[in-house]
Amino acid sequence: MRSLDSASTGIAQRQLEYLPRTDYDLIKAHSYAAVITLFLSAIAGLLVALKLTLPELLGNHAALSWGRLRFDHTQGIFFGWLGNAFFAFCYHMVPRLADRPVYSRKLGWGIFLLWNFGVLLPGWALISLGLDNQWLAVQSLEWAEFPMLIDLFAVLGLLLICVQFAGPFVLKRQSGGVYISVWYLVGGAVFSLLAYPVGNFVPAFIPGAQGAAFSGLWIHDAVGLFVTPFVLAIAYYIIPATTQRPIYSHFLSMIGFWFLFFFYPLNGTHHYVYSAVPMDAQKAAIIASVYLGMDVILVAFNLLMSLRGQAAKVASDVPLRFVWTGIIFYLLVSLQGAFQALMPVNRLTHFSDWVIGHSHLAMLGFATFIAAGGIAHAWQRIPHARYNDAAMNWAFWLITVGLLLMFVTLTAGGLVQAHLWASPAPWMDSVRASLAYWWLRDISAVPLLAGFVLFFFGLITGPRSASCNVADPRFHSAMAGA
Amino acid sequence: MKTANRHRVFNSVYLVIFVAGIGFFALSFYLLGILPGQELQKEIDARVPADMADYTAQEERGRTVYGREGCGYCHTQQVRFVAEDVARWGAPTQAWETRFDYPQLWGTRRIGPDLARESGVRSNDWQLTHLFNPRFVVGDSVMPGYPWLFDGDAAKPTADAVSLVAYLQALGRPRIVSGYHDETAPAPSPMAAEHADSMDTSTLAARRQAISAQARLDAAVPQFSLPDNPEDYSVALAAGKTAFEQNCTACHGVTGAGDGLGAASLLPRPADLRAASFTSGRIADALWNGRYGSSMPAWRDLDNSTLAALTVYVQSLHTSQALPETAIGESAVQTATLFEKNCSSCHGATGQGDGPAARSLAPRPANFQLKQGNPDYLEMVLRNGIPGTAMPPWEEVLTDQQRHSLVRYLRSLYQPSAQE
Repeated sequence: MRSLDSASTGIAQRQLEYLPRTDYDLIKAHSYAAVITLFLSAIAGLLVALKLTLPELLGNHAALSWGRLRFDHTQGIFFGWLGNAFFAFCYHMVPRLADRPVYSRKLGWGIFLLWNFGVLLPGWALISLGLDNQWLAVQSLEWAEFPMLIDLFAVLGLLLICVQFAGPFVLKRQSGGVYISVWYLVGGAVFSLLAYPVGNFVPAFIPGAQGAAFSGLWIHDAVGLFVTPFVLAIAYYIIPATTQRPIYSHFLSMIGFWFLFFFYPLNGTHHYVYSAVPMDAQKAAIIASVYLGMDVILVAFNLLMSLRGQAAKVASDVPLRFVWTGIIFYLLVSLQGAFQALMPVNRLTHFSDWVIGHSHLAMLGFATFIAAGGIAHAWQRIPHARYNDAAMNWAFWLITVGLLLMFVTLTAGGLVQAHLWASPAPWMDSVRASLAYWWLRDISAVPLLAGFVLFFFGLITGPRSASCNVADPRFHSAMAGA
Repeated sequence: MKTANRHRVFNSVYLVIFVAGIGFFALSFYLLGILPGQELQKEIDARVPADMADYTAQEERGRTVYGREGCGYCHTQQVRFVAEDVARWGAPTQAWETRFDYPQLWGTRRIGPDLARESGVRSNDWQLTHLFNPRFVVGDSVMPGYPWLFDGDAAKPTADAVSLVAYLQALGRPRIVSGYHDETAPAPSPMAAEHADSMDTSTLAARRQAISAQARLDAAVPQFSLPDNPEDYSVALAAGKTAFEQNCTACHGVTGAGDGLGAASLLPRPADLRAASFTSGRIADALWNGRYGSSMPAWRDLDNSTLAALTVYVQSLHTSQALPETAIGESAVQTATLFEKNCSSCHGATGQGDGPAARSLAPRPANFQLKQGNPDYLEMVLRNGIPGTAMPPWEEVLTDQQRHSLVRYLRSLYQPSAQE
């Protein structure tokens, strides 16, 4: 490892009074919104899962039908849980990294209201109502289900996010460049602002296979260029902040960043392998998927090496343990993704529960673990906030157990479905064979929901933080040589 | 200050914004969005039939309902260029077929089957009943019902439900009317040719025949090997019972009386399998080809041994009934004349269901050589007709005696094979 410059050896212990203004109320507001929506979205997910095993359950109400609840589930996780969680952490991270407050407090509350009461809640309401007007109707497009009117507000929200969180770094000259978390934050925010309309508006105006090519882009950009950059920004922040040591290699983190932003957007078409989309595009996407898998090895290596010799810290500090586990899931899910993009594998596993297992490993394993670690980490550093370490610890183990049970049963069930589909067996055989796995998946909701509730208890119970002078890293110095 | 400002341009935040954020976005947008789109446009222009019809307003409305209810999250509309997909559903989905799909509804998950080739596979009644409550027609289905698309009853669909079914019946229709559709040899597309190695055409053809579920008229039925000794017979009977419970009871009822959950909203009603004896060939044909014009789908996706077992089991459901000892009203000659005058235009001179009018009727008129109704059943049919088919009631036309005699005559036409 290249030795970092001398300044980085003393990641400075900063007293709170030297910190630029941090908007703790916004951290709290976004965190509460995040955890509450996480729970509600998980309930929607549980109902969707239960309905596969008990199809008559709550079957008489349009708003509680399988399709609508599935929209609620994924859009709730995307906007409500992950969006709010990212923004909460940004209010913690940005002032510390930019050495100035976020763009504006007022804007902050505007974003909070817009995101939750202009996008999330009306989005859910419109899904439940099922209106017909083209601008108010549900869009049957993955990760783009909210009606197009809501999409306009979401784009506005993303624009304001760029101003709020990228703004400080543009407005205040950053001597010697900025820390890797900022790269991910700024890159992800700008990219999402551009990519969001591609998935949400373009397929409504470009038909069929041509529209599907754009849908494919967004399906992957939602995960790859909104969720992943924010999550990695959190991970890259929390590790040095908790361990008080610089990350393993700034050079590797730069390489990882540029490869990720280059290859990730080129992955999208791998959702439509063996489709009518031109084979050149399919193959390009598959190749990009493999490169992305290799890049993630690099990123995860860099992150995990930053934690070498820190096993005790990872074991004792629950937020850091969330992050560490999330990185492990990131490595697994990305290698799995590269693997299942390969044509022979895709041919077998596509359309099956294998893919549902994969997406839960990504969104619940990778993204949720690190976002939860981020909220807990920031929360511990809010003056006079309560924090219950035991509840957080239980939450960690329950969510881990629930996720693993869900992932294993979905993957196994998916393989059973896939092999039955490739055989001459009648279709219903695959449904009947899935039921056992679907029941196990239902059971996985118990530890998951319990974990989410305990996570919430971790934020509202326990002792209040005694003082505010929590150790805080300065990253600029560590960045100087990069 | 000037220097600082100039440096700001090269500050890495700008690099991230303009290269990673905007540049790489534009690159992917062009490489995987615009470029394939242009290529697809060329392919569509080259292959689309000149007169390809857009969705009707009703179908478009149904499409909106399909999207709103999230149908596309369990049903794909995308037959991939791989043998197993083609074997199950038919020709792969081509770009030109989707040119009116705003937005695309390809889907990425299959819990239920693909619907890209759904046109005509099942009757409207079946589709509506299935939408009201899928378990009324598919016992083990896990699909949700959509009762809010109905006025409280599967037989009372709202405009939304009717539109949705119209849309389902339009899926794959452009290909059927395009001239590309060819049962035995799907037109090779550029992509299929490229992946010829993955399309094992010989096994493909065999399985294609076996699996595609389109109800058909008069297609050749493979010879099922029926049990020829008591031991095999009892094994087949048990297997047939299981298969019947899994696949048939939803409509035909547990006892086969045609009174299953789905029966009330299907026209014609599911057959009462107790009220007639069928030859094994007749049952095999109904299983293999479905009953075109009724809600009986084809069951070619079941393997042949299951179909043979079902044949045996359905035959076992028949409860025979002796002819009532009534005075013979009409002479044999008179009855034959009666049949010729009133029945033969549909049922044919020899009662084979092949009269001059039969070709245009769906379902086809009964073939009395292969199906022998119980006297009560035939009396009932002669009195009331069969709603949902071309069979009219004869109560006003024929006297009681004439109908009694006809029942006797129809039963005498039955020609089971020696072992039956």
